[in-house]
Amino acid sequence: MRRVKHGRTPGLVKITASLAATFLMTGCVSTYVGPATTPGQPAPIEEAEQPQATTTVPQTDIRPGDTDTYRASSAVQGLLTEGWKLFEQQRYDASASIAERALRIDRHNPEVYLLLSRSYLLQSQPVLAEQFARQGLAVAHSSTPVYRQLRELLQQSQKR
Amino acid sequence: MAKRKKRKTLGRKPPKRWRRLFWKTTLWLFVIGLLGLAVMDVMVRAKFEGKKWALPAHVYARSLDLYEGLRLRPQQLGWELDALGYRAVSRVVAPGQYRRHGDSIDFYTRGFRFWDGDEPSRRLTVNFNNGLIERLSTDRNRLPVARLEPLRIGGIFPEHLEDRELVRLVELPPYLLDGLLAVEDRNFYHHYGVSLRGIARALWANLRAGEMNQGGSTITQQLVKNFYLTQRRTLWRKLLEIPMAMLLELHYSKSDILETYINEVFLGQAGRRAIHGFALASRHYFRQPVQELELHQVALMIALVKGASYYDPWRYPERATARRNFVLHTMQQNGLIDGKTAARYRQKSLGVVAEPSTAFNDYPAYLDLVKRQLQRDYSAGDLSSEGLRIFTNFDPQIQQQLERSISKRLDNLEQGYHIDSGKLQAGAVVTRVGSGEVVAIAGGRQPRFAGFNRALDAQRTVGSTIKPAVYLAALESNAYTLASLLPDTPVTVESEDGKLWQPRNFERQSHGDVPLYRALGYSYNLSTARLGMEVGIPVVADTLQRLGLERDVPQLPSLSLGAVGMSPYEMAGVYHTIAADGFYTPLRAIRAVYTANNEPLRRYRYEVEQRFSPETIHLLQYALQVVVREGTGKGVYNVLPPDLVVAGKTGTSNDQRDSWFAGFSGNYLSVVWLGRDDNGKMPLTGGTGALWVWADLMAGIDNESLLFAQPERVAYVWVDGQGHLSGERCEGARYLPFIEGTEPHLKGSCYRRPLHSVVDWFKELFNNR
Repeated sequence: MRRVKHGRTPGLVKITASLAATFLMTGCVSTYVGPATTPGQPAPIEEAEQPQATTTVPQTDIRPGDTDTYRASSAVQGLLTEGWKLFEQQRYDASASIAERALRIDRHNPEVYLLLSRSYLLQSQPVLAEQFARQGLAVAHSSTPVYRQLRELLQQSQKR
Repeated sequence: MAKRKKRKTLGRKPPKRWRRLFWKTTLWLFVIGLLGLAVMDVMVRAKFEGKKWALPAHVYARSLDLYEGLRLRPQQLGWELDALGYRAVSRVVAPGQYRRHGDSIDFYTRGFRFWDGDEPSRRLTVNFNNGLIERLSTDRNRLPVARLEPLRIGGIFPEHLEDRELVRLVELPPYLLDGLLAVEDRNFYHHYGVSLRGIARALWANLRAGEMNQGGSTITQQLVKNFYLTQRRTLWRKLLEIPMAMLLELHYSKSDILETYINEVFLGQAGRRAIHGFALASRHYFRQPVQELELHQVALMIALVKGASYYDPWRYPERATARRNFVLHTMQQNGLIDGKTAARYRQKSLGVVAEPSTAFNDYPAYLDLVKRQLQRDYSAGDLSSEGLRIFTNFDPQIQQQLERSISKRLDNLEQGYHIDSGKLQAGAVVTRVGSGEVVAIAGGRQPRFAGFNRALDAQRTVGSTIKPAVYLAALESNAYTLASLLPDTPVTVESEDGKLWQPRNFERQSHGDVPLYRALGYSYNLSTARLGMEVGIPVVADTLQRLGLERDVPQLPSLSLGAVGMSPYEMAGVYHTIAADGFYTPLRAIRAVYTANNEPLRRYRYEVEQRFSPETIHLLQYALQVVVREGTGKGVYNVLPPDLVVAGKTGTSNDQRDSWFAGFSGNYLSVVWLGRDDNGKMPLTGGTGALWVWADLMAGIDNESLLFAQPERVAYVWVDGQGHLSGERCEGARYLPFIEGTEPHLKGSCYRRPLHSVVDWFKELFNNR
């Protein structure tokens, strides 16, 4: 039986552990950015042929806009409040008109399209109601209640 | 036989036949007179009870919404208030007044009846900070939103070019009615159309004064003269006046006659437009509604009744002042005002605006669009006679900026490029993004000239501004991404008749294989022509129509390079769909139409149709940002701030006969065309001509950055120049958007697989050994 010499084994383990830790830390601070972060199956990644020549293009920073910090303005909130009141009073053309006024201030507020879509649906204008629902869905976050309401409206208007 | 005594001839009765003739004639004259009176009666009543006037349609600009966070400077709000006739005062106590103090403006709105509700008349305070409205309040309570009444910008006039704005007796300011009667017809309530006493009084007053200070005609007679007869001073007219005046008094009340008079009386001339009625005259002379006039202004208006041209306050201010003071004196003599008041107001200036507006319409190009859109729903007769009130999307401040940009840049370009002065022309359209509301139009270099409307009617070769349609068709097919390599190499196309089409790049060079976003960004012709053929010209044509072009186009290979004519207005319709994230909406100038009595008649609602997916449009918008950041349109950032995100496309036709720029921000889209009316060549391209006008315009209005929100089915990936996966720190890598499922899967030499976990890292480590 070969006996392990007590002096060498702990040292080897320490070195291996240090190296592993070093590589681990290096890996954690890797700056490589991976491909798509959207859900779905990632495409298989293959080696590409080496390029014939490298074309240098000037870099400009074109990035998608930040929609997470979006906040509805008090003006739009005020108009929506007024608009929903008119809607409750069954004054659908007036509520649609108020919604259009809100749209001029902020065309990225999905609730404005919700009001428009509902107003037109109740005026028996399903085609318009559908289109406004689509427009609202294009600006709404999928995790929000208004998104779900717009989806329902889209289905309702498509049925008519 | 005794001689008959000769009878004396004197005192002898005329022979019987003469007497018969006399009575017969008298009877006939009486019958004719009666008949004439009957006809007159019918005429008087028909006109008075029917439509009294052919009222022009009044056209109004947009109403300005005020809210916290609105980009608006105090000078801009001041401009709006001045244009609406608000008066600067030291203390705001009544509608139509404002006071500016530091970074705040207090003002008292007039109130207005809108389609969706009444805007009350109230006192507001706006506090500004850093070019924004920081706070909007009324009576110290915060208000989320308020709006001003809209500004009148023009009219659609009947043939006789009479302009008037109807007003009721109850709406008149104090002293106007009483003052008018005191000066023109003191006995109005006591006579029956004609006043002998009035005639005698006037005669005596004029003899004493040695001049014609007073007329002897009653208000009723004056109305007959203006309403039924002519201004020509003939005996026949005078003779007709009297019975007609009496008939009027017979059938109608004093109030009816007076109200008709105050709306009929001629009170001035604005170029070819005749100003009738006190309400319109008030706006013409003072730019204020008649209800807000002060005593000295009321007195001037009464003074003008005697002779609006003779007492024109701009041309003959001394005469006008003297006549006005006479009116004040008469009012005092009749006990309407006391001596102190009369003396105080005699010291005041005339109070008219600095310059009269003589333009028929100040914005003829925009009015042209309004008329065309209205003619779909109303006859020409209705438009020019029913007194419709038309509320539009016109923004006067953006229009002014557009006109300034065109004027300044065209002068500079002509000088800089040695083009004959005045040869360059322009056409431009500005719309809001999303709603498709047209806010400004330039029909030519001279904005006040109502001639050929280049914005709506100039069919000019569009050149490269059509390329987004080609690239959109390609991206929509899913066979292409922004990273797809396109051959930018010479191409020859043979047409059916054997002719060869050999397009060339602008700089006459080929670029080899280029990524799609670059081919569009740098506007390469060869790659675009090839792409158009690959995708199919019918598909490109169909895409163009889906974008909003409402007619067929020649389906030839050269379509992909813009060998088709469009107007700036049509181009704006196409680009609006791109700016609005793939949603098509027809451009519109009109918001609503009201009747002359301010009853809502029709609302022109916002309509929309999704024609392209948000994902595809996102890719296209990316490439259009490349145009302005790096490509043929990068000059815009010599004028615009670098943090304002915009997108656009240049366009230059063959031989540089047309210079185009179409582009948009988050809230406004604008299309500008420059060229020569004789279609002559110019040394300008889209990037050296129209781009500057566009950039100046956008720099001068309150823009928001293009939001450029990432749709859920779009992912951003680093790719290299070959379209292979790459990394952020790799040389030549670019961060590009891809529709889910179309991302590249070939990795470039610089690519490293992303490490999502420690396990992946170890796997990578051991796999690479």
